[in-house]
Amino acid sequence: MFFSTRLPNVFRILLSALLLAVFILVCMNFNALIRLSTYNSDSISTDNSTLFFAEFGWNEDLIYEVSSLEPNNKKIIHTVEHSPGFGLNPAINTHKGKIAYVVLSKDAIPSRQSSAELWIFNTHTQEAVRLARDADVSARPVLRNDGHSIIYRSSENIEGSSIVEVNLDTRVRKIIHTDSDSFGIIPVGFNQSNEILFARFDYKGTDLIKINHQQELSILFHASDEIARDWRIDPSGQNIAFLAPEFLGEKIVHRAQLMSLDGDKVNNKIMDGVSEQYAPAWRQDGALAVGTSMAPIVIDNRNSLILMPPEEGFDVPLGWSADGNYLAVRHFDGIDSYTPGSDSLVLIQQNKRMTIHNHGELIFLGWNSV
Amino acid sequence: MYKKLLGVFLLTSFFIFALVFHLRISTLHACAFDPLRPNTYEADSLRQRYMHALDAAAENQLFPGDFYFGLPRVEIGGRYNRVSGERSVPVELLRAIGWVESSLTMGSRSTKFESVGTSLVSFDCGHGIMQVTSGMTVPIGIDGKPNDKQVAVATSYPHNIARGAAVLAAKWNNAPQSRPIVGTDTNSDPSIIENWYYAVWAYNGFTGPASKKSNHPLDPTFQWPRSPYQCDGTQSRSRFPYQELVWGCMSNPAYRYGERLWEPVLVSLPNFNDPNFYNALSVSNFSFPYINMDIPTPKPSHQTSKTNISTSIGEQVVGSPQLQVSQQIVTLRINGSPDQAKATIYISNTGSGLMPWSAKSSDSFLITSPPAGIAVGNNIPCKSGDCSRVPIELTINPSLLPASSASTTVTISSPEIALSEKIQVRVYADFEVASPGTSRASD
Repeated sequence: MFFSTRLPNVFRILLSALLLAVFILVCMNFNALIRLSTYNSDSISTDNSTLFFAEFGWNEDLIYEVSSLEPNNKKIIHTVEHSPGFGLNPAINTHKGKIAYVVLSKDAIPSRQSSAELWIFNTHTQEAVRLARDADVSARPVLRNDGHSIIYRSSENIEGSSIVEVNLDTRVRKIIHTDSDSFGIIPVGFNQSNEILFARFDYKGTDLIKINHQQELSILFHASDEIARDWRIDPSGQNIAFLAPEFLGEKIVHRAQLMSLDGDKVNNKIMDGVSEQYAPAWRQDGALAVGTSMAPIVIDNRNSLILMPPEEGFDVPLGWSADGNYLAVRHFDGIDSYTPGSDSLVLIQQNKRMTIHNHGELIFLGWNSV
Repeated sequence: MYKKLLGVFLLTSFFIFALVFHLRISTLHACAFDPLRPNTYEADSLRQRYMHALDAAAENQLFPGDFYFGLPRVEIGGRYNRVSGERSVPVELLRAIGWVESSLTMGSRSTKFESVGTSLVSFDCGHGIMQVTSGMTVPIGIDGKPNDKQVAVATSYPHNIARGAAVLAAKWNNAPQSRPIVGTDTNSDPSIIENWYYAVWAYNGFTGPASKKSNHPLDPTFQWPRSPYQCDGTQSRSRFPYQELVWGCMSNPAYRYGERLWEPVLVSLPNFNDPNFYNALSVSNFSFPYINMDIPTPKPSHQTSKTNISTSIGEQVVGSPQLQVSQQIVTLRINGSPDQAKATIYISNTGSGLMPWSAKSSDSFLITSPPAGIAVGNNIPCKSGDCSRVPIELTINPSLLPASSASTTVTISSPEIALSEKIQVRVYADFEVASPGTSRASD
């Protein structure tokens, strides 16, 4: 017999209740564990993703491709000469092996005021094409998810910064909007209807603005009374994650925010807590990685999973491989954003962390999408 | 017949040349010397001369008493109780700014060390080691020519460094009226290096978030978090606001031949996790005169280290130059061979030290190239060419000639010496051209 018949009834009832509670708790956690192991059982396979990154050099950056299986077996696929000291600034995303970036040409005056060139490099054909010569080297361009268009910031207009779109099929360049009223603007991306989104900063904080196909502007939402940053649109083009500063625990900390692109708040506070969070990164299946002071946390509709933490320091997510098996992060060996220490490029796969060795600063470019 | 053709050809060439030259002059005129470039002297690759001058400039020992090149009194005190203090700026800042601005070089990349060559001029009219832009954007001398101060800033490294130090001091002193202050808890003491955070920001432009040349540390185009700038050439400069470049170079000195150029000072940046700093830099506060942006001193703070500077260092650096020119009369012919259309004269410094000079024509049809430069004395090392005897090329802008023959005067002067030299230049341009359909007597 499971229960001794010599125990009083009240004890038998209490013990049963306790065992039931333990069983339920185990089942709940098991559900999470099942999800984790199910997801990662795919990732443990010998699948191979290709990572692209650049290594900064004073006069030229080297673009590498590496296999996720051997991330330190680096192969140079392109060299980008640039103005001394001013390395390339890559697009937030890649598209089928196409890498876009802005860079000051080697003959340009080494200053952020110089006009930069916008390039797109096809890693398959090794062809590099210059698309524009009026880009702003400070602001990252954004590729549309279908690869047909790219937007960038140009600051050559004396009236203010402009969002410019280049049609990658026709190479036609079009100024979409020039802003003269705010501190500045940065391109953010495209929604599911391929309408352009940009962030605008002024005395009142940060707004996310949409430009429809008739070039009419509308404020999607007020993101922060301060400077919101690290905007990332989900693969469906329906939601956007970003960081905004909050006053928590007597400190100013950046926390991840999640909004739908129709302007409705999805979940303002992705996670409880008061510690600072770092750049969000969407996985192809709609899960979101957010850096925390401990380790990146992956959130989907029902669960949150903690990725393998570093021995010391913290990770800032950069981008997922297309199959979702690897997360590239910028790892800092310091304590927090004020004392970040030195940084390195690291790939995280389930219970494995792989550091890519370098001499100069490594610039994450993206993964080869399938 | 061939004489007629030659005449027509020369006349056509003359007008095309005149048109192109005129367009070039009119389109490139943007900085004090544009479209030409002044010359300068680039000192040793170890930067020892420059480091010496930086030490002296920080303590106002290069040109004490000079209104333009001397340091003003640097104010001390909070926003509403500022008083005049010492004529001193932290030398640590000057070194790092010089490195960030120019890698401590006075000349362009083509100018060799310990040689005379083209000076470093950026597209925004930054000149020399300290990339001085204030007062260098347009020629402000008589007849639209650069004045002596502009000549000295562009050509002479002691003047350039001294002016950079004076500009930095002015950024500090202008703070209560037009910019925020650092050190609300330390009486905004200028001997604390961290208190210069806003002044250094302003040295490169007190620009706000998300602007083209933003130096706002919370600008969303800068990575966040970001590792400190290492000042070792392994990081792209575009990913840091200007003041963090300077802070990084103070903490991580540049190396030359295995020797670091200065002792590291691990200066502190404002902690933007602390509301005392973050709230001050709120976007709502970024409006003139930025009163709400005042912040306490970032901790731990660091005092500048004073170096013992000889009071005669200014005289030692500048020396006692003596001016000499190679000839007093020059004849140019643009109706003759190409060689006759230009002439080269030489300026010599028969004394010691550095002699900045300018060559100004009394008439605009005569071009002097370079328009300004430097001739160094025999006590200054020179590895390439003759640094004490430098050439000036004289050419004619034919479109501005008043007649087929003209004369003008070129004045060679130096801000460092009272005397000047004058060169008489005669120009002949009377072509023998016959009109079509007419005949001339045979030669």
